[in-house]
This record gives sequence, structure tokens and C-alpha cells, in this order.
Amino acid sequence: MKVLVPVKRVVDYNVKIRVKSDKTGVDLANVKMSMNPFDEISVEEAVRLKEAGVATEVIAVSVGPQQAQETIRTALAMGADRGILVKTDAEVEPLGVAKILKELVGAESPDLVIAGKQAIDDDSNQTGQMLAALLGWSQATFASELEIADGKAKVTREIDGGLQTIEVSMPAVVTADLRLNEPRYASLPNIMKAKKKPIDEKTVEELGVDIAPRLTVLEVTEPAAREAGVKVETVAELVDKLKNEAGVIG
Amino acid sequence: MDFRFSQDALDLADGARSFLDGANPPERLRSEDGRDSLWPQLAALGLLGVLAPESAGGLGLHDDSFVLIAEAAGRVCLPEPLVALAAISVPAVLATYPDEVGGLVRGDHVSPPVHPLAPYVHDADKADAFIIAGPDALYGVPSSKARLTPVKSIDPNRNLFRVEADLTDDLKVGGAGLCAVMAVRGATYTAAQLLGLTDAMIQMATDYAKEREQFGQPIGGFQAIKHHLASAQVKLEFARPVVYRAAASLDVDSIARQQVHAAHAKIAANEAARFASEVAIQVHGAMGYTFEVDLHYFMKRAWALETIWGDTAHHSMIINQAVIDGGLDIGPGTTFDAA
Repeated sequence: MKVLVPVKRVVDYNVKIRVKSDKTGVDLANVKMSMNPFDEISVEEAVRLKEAGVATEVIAVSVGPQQAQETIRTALAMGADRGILVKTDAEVEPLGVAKILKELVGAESPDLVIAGKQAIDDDSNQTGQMLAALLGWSQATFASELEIADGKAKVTREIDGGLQTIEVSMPAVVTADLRLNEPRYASLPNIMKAKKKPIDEKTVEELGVDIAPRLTVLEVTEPAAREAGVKVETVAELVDKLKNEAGVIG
Repeated sequence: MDFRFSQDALDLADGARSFLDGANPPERLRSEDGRDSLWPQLAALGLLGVLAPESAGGLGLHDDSFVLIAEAAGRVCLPEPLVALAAISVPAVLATYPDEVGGLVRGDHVSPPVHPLAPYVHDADKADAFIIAGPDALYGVPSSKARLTPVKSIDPNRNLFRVEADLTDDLKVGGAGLCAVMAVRGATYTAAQLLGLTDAMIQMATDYAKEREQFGQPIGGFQAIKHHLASAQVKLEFARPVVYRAAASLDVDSIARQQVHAAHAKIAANEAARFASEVAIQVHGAMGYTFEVDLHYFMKRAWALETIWGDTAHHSMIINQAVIDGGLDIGPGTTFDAA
């Protein structure tokens, strides 16, 4: 069974991002970039499937600039077998990425795509779902457990207020939630070995995909600064404020 | 001459940094009694074998790869003696009993170095054996033949012991030359860890200066604070290439030249760390003295490392002897001589 894992290059989760002064987006100059943390979880799951003898090959795919190759290398160091970079300097929206992935799925014929549930830069949470729709495949989103048996995937999903376990037929798209696993750190020998693993480069034009943006970003702003708290003298005053100012109790 | 680090070295350091940052956050430094050792993970990730040959399960790389990892270990104030084992013990065992290196690389055996310049050994009670530099030879001493006396360190994350043994001929494993190599490696890699600690202290002070407000603005907005931090950063940037050069010259240059490079590195790193710790504590104001702030762990580690493998006075004497008494050529024309 082949597993395809899309990995996105995003601003490192430790970086305190700053909005550009013209409010058109986030300042990416000299900012540390890393693999989207949910994609790390996807790679880990795919590698575990391979180690368990369920998967035979894990392919890491990224859509982005040349530097996205580093993100693929990280996936290769974690245990993926090979990579595919679809090179583009354009901003690609989730629909565009889903279309590109659809083409790659057509070429590679994987049985399973494990994607992160969302990327931490745009928080779209759309690519996996769109890909499943475009392919006409089953989808199981927000996975916190994944079991493959008899051509079916049993997935425990994190939903509001609890867990839902579903079974989907394969091929399928699964999107990984935070608790699916704890990604490993790549060992130094594996970082070295990853350099020798192949990364195939393609362009959006070669795949014949229209990635023209459908959305227009009007404005990006920082979250409102948190206001300083107040000290209350009595419990009665606290209850009064919770009731009348915060409106959190009736 | 290409002064850049190889992409391999940078990638490995990145990998190590990402592990160390995640596995040893400052909170871990606060739990010195009940924490699990990272030793199995350090071994599994291959960090113990960077300098060991591939036949022994290592990566077979040179010191210019490990120096960045040592710096990363310093930056997180790693309690485990990774650097001493991987950068001092592994090469010493490789030079004497190469068949035994595999055990060190896998983390099965722990044989820390003991030298008159670093007589107290961290976690000596967990060691199987010691590599002891005697007055005229190198000795391999099993832990059963060593006498350990606990010594209290200023650094709460260093569990020190004085290690003594009867250095008899049957324990001899190498000559005095290996003791000199051990001292050079000790000084160079302690300097590398000091770079990391200096970096961390400047970062902490800078973060605090951006957050702490006084007179209606963050204190980092005041020139007096900015200048202090900038001066500390300059000291660090000036020390870095000196330490990197010392690492690059290990096992490549003559031992005399390695000694001078290591001495220069240790002096520069000592100075940068001392200055950064003073600045960091000033910037933190009274908070810097409290246990609530992480700074003191890094500062105490820096103070501890400043004195081991030769303090500034010791290394100044080495340079004095080499330049004044030994007639070592100095100046731009000889900077890159590999004599």
C-alpha cells in the first residue's frame, strides 16, 4: 500500500509573527520556516504504517518554492521514502493544492492520503476535504486514531464533546489531528540518509492545473491587544461583573 | 579557502537543535531530582557518534560538524554530559581501544574524561569507567577501581564527583600526547557550550527587555539597555569564529597550534559568557536574582564552565608561552597556516 503525505512549509510555530505594515499579510523576511506541525503528525503516522508492514511506500509531497524541498527532506529524514516537489512561487490556495494533489494521486495511485487537518499559517482546514471531493474518495477528518485492515480504514475522529469512530473504504483521505501521535525527531544518521533519497521536481504547468486565486485578501491585522485585568474587592462584585459586564453567567 | 560550514553540518545541527529545544526546555532544568535521563534518546538519535567512524555506528564526521551541536547543547543548558562523552571520550577511546567505541556510541557504556583541568566529573556515579589523564600517560580506570567523592557545584544541574584512582601501569592506555589532545578538546568544546549559553542569556535578556515596561515603554526602548545588549552580542559574534576555528583545527593542525587556537577560543568564550551573564542580570533587574526566572540556571552553568578545562589565566599563559617564549608566528600572514 502506497501512502501519499502532503507537507507544507510554514512559519515555525515558535516564531512570533508580525503583520506587514501595509496589512497585506505576514512578514516572512528572515523568519524561520518549518514543516506544518499537523503534517509532521501525518508523516509520522505514514511512517508508522510502513514500520508496521501495512504501507509499502511513503511519498512526501510539497507545493511551494524551491525551499520547500527542505520540508520534504525533513519528511524523508523522518522515514518517508521519496519526495515530490511541485515548484511554484505563487501563493496557492487550498483548492489549488487539492487540484495539484489530485493530479499526483492520479500519477502515483496511492491507497491512502494522510494530510494534516490544517496548516498553521492560514488555518484553512480545507485541502484534505477538497481533495477527497475532487477524487471522489472517502474522507475521515480530524483523526486521532487510524487502523487499516481488510481494505478499510477505521478512524477515530475528534469531534465536539467526544470521539466518533467511523470506518471508510479505501482509497481514502485522512486528515490528522493533534493527538494522532507524537512525531519523532529525525536521527542524525537518517538526516544524512535523507540527502540521498530522491526528490522529483514538477511544475504546476506540467500538471496542467489552474491555481489562479479565487479569494482576495482584503486585510490582515494583529489580534487586539489583551486589556489589563481589574482587581475586585468582594465576591459580590465579581459575580456582578461576570453577570453584567462579561455576561458569562445568567 | 571556504569558511562556510558544510550543508551536512548545518543540517545535523538543525536536527540536534530541534531535538534539544524540544526535549530540554527550561522547565526540565527545574526538576533535577525526578527527571528521566535523555541519554537513551541522545544515543538513538546518533548524537553520541558524530565523531565516531561509521563502522562503530557513528557518522564519521569531523569536529567542524560537532561544534555546532555542542553549541546547541549549551544553548539549552543540557544537564546530560553529551559533549564531554561525544567530543572528548569518544576520540580518546578511538585512539586507544577503537573496538570499544561502539558501546559508547550506542550509549551502553559511559566513560567520562577526567583531567587535572577538569577533575570533577558530572554524573560519575553512572559511569562504567573513566578515562583519566595522569601526569605522564592516559589511563582507563573501571569504576570499581575509582574512588568517588561528591562535590557540590554552583550549578544545580551538575551532579559532581571528585574521581580518584591509583594510576598503576596495568591501567595505562596511552601516552602523554593523548592527555594534551584531551585538554585541547576539553577547552574547545567547553568554549562551544559557552557560546550557546551566551546566546541563550542574551536572548532571555532581550525578551525580558521587550516585555518589561517602565516609564510607559518597554525597557528595551532605552538606549542604556540596548547598548548593553548590543555589546554582549558583539562579544558573542567575536568569540564564535574563534571557537569554530579551534574546532576546525582539531586533529588537523599540529598540537602546538591546536593548543593556541583552543586557548584563544576559551578566553574569548569565557569573556563573552561572563559579560553576557552580567548584562543579562542587570537587564532583568532584581528579577534576575530570583529562582522564578530561568536565567540563573544558564548563568551558573556559564560560571561553572568558565573555570573548567582551564580558566582565562591558564589559557593566557598558553598563548604567552607560544607567542613570547615559543616564537609562534602571528599576524594576518600566518592566520591560516596549518603548521
